[in-house]
Amino acid sequence: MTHNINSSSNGFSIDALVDDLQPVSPISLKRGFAIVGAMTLLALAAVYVTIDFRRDVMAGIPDPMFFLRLGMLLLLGTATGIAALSMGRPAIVSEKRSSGTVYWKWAVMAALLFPLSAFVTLLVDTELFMQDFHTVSSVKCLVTSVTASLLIGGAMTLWMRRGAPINLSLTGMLIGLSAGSFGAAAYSFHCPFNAVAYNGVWFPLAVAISTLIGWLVVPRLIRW
Amino acid sequence: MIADDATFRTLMRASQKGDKQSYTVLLGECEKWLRRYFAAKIAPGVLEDLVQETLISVHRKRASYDPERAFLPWLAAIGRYRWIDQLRKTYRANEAELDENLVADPQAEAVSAKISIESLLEKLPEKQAEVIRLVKIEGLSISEASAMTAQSESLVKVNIHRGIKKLNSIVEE
Repeated sequence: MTHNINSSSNGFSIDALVDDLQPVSPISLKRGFAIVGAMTLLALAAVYVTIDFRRDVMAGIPDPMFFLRLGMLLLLGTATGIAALSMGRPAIVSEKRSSGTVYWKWAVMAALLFPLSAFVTLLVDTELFMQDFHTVSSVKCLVTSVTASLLIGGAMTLWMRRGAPINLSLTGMLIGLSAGSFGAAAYSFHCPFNAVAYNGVWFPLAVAISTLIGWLVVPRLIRW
Repeated sequence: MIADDATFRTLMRASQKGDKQSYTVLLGECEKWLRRYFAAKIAPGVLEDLVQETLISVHRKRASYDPERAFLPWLAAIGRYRWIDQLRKTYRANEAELDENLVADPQAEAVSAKISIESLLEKLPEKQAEVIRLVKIEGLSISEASAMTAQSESLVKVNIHRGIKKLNSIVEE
């Protein structure tokens, strides 16, 4: 039997959709990433204005740990950001696999070396670990990083509302993870601590909080 | 005959630029393709609504199609999302009436949807299907399902997770 829903009894008609047609520009990952980049720079500027950059960065001779930490956070943010934004342009399995959206897991595994190293430090030299733990500063790390991630994640969520993600939980989680990484990267320009015990606990915790917020909140905002 | 992917792509590119003539043809071809796509997955009684809802989503989300990529995987993704969403809505809305309808009107939409999901659940191991029915369809808590099935709470969660993952792969086939 051949059906025709050009005009249906429930009011639906293809003609109405055609009448409503307006030109649209396809959503662009480049534009999405430009927004993420702009928000990260804004967060960085806010860090500079409110709590200043660390001394070695200002002097132009940053500690190697600064580069290592910043590089890892930017890599993680970029890999998960590509995966998150790609989910706004859905496709069934074979297309998805070829689009690189599955490689973010490798970046997560590489980033896990930081908390793993912190854990090893705890086992090998507990006293040293506790000395480097800096509990008071950690609050500033968490609050600043998560606040920055809310700014970045909010922009990503707005961008995603034009898209058509089909796995809402994963998309939300990836937005949180990417935004958390970029937010922590912005804060890392201020953070004066270089110890593994610090970097392996508080930065990952900030990223984890942002990921959790993304997983819990974002799906409700991008449902379609 | 249904158009091939290259034709769909050409039509969609023109539609994204606002070409109404191409869009009319595109939606007509999408309708035919979606009927065939859903035919093996869903009861005939709900096919019409699902095709219409998917076409509306195609319209609303047309900016999410990347003109450099194949069209049909995108259309299938939109269709699959709408289908799962409709199953979820049908269950929530008709849960209370389901038993009565089953006796009074075996052709009702809720019953059709139930038959459809039941046929999918039959493809899962019994333990997974059982906890999905209890928690995801009947709305019991994890602990209640655990007590009813003699599975530990963590096993209930694992079985739901694995079962839904398997359902997704069945749906994508």
